[in-house]
Amino acid sequence: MAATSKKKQPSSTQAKLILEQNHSLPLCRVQVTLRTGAASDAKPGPELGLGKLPDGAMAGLCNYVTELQRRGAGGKTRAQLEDAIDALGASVQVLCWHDSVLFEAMALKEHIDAACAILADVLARPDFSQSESDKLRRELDANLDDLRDDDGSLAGRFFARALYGSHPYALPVGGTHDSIARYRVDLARTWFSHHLVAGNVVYGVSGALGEDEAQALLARHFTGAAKALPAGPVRDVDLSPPPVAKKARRRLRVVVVDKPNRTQSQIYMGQLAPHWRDAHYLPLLVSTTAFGGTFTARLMDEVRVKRGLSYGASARLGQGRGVRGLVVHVMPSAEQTGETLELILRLYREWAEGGLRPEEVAFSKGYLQKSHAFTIQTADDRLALRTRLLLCDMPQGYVTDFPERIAAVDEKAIRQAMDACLHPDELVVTLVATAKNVLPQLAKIAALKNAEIEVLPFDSY
Amino acid sequence: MSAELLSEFPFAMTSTEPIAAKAGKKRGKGSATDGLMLRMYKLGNGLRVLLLADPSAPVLAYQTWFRVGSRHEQEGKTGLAHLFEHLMFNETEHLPAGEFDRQIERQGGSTNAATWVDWTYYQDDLPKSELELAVRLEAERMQHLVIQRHQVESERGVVISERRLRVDDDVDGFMSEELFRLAFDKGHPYHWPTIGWMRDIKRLSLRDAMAFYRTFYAPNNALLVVVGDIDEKQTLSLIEKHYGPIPAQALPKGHYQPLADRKPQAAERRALFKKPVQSDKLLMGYQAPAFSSDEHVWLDFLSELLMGSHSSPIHRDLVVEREIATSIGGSVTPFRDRGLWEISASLKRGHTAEELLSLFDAHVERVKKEGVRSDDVERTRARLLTEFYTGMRTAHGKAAQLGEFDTVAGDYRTLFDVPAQLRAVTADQLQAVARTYLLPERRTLLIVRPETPARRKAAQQVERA
Repeated sequence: MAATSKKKQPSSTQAKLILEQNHSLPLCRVQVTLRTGAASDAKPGPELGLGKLPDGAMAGLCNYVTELQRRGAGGKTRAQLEDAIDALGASVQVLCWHDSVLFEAMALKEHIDAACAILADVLARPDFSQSESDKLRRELDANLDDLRDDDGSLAGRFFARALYGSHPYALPVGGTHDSIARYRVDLARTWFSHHLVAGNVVYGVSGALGEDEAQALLARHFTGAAKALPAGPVRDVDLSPPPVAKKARRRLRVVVVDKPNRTQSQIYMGQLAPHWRDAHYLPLLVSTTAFGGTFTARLMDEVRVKRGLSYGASARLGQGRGVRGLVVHVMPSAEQTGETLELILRLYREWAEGGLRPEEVAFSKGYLQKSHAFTIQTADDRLALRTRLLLCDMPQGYVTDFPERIAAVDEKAIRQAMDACLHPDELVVTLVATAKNVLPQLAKIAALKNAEIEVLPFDSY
Repeated sequence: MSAELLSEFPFAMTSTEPIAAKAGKKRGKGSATDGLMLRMYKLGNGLRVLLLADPSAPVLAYQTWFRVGSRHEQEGKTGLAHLFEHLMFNETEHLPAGEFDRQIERQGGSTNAATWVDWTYYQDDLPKSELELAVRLEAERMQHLVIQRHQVESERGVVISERRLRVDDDVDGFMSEELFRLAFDKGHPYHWPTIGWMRDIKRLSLRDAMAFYRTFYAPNNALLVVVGDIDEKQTLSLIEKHYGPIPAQALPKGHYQPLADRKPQAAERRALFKKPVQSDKLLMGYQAPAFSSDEHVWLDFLSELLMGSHSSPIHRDLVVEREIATSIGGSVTPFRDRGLWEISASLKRGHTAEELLSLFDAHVERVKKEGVRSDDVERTRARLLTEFYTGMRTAHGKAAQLGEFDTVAGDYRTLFDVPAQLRAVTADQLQAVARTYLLPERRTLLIVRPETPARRKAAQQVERA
């Protein structure tokens, strides 16, 4: 009954596979993860023959190419593929993020073989038809309109650009109006031939399949001689952190994304954080969790419980192949925006400079250690974590020894991590709000006296 | 005091064969084909307890479903059920404010709650070792909640923030609220939103909250669902120990009875709004059957068939081929009483909601006249069966489905009828349900259109003046 994961060395004909079994439901999930993601859009590479283009000119290219793969493959049109997938009650999807692209089939066990046959066509034998490309470009363009109707997504998009600057994570996965206009089928074909190579993918299976069944499935559809992706060099993306500004030039930066008639402001505030592999990461995770990672954390207590200023108040530490952000999120009313921003700026500084109380550290460590059971609750969860660890060059043992790693974090390590990593003078703040209502409030915040404040129309990016 | 066994039923999920056939025709006496067995008990005070020992992960889901929701509010006091849900996380006679959440999170757990028209439920997800903690804390707040004026004020602010997030600054939330306001006449409990009208949220009092607690938060108005790596006997014994002394309460006369039949809607209702959106948005609702009716299954199936996937005829026509919408989708409200079949669409720039509507209507008329294609029926059936099993992956997912089916449909065992019901759906049933429900005069329709820049500028000038 209980899910198990057998440790067995693959034979020479077997593909490297992450397998997480669960036989309590008749469901199976097969994943092929491409190690290249939307971060590759920052410098698309000379092989694409694009010449010199401005920064961000090809934002969203990876998403365009891999989504186009799903829209006609193996000699089947998009409609034929979709009919075939639905006839199985399956799903075959392609999801693009900055760090990777996921090609996934999910179906009842009795249909997983047929679903994998479709997935294999999408992965390795896309048609790249001109008409589907034209249609997809129009669809991606329209998606930007939908995004602007959602304040949370809009705030996240502007915040990423402000936080990451020249780093590839600044580019939106879905592209911009300008970049979408540059996508072409011949570019898609070239991109595909350079990135869809055997050494650039990771295979994963979860659900009601044993190891032999899973290996046989992979060989039939993905890794067997007739079906395998071509060999080829793996092109890695430079995800080095963006250069740090000189100390004398450091100051707070505020971007007000001006949208009419807002009764509430969506505020993201943050800074770059250490890499997941960095020795400071886990101590800072303990600290961030105490500051804003749970319902009873300091931030939630001060903002929501004591003052009722915002429905949510959280702080999260990101993790990925490159450095990610430490991000605070609140959503006060338009009239309480200044009061709330002033409060979270003060709380952040008090946290960075004053540290945590011993009981906060103990609480946070207990929470992280014990809640790990939920992170690895299902076979799908374990597969997702193990794949992420592999992509980020993290040890696979993290799946099981995370609680011990947290237990080993002491107060000294936390203080060192906070001293090294927290920069309350360099925070980036993005607000989606009605500028004429919130600017007078921002002007009264002492902490923003020397801040750089920029106002941008909500439909400008 | 000992709990009475009300029913037992096999939790059979490892095969895609019809479950009803496995369990036998007679409910409650099925054999444990997978070794997992659901058992429902009743304590002397009326509290019902549904247990499923499932050792697939070292965690447990502990949920309390109360048969109270926004349908039990009155005009002028809307939003009370939801505000009260927030207050349940405050103080009790034996726990200072905030201690409930702290004790759960200290053990790596998480807590949350949700309110809708028919129910309010509270959820604790915990490592398996923390069963006693969940039982103790939940029993404590069912009986000994303390609410103070300043807590009501603070939570009022939080709920106002939530309303702004979900409704006032969210065009989809705004449209949903307006649809129900227009489709259901004043006085009908679906007329008002579960989160409440802003003016009412601002007026709710401590006295309102306490009266609500004393009326509805009773053991005889609740169902406990515990799923996970538990020992059934130990769990039941703990529950008896902590909940047994809580007295039953007299519930209002006619509590949780079906609503009186309303007059059928006689003419289409429409409204148009201007908002700072990029393109037209359309939301409509046809009067629809209650959750427990067979017609609900068929209408939900038809909705999925027409719009639920990339291969669905309406999605393919309007989104993929004609490219006039970025999205279109539908769902039937899972309410105890008659609700709505909601259809929402987001238009592409340069296209209007009216243009989409006339094409949508042509599809509906075709279904009513010619029926649906058998291959579309088979595709939808396969997809819905997969979705059914997908919802059962976690302890939390299982508990939530069991709790909702028992509370809304009246019997948790009806959850296991779903695969058989899906297998039995025919094209004729889908055509019949379309003819019964998809009537223009039973439809309510909302359009949100972009404000023109000139209009926006004029509005700004007025505001400045």
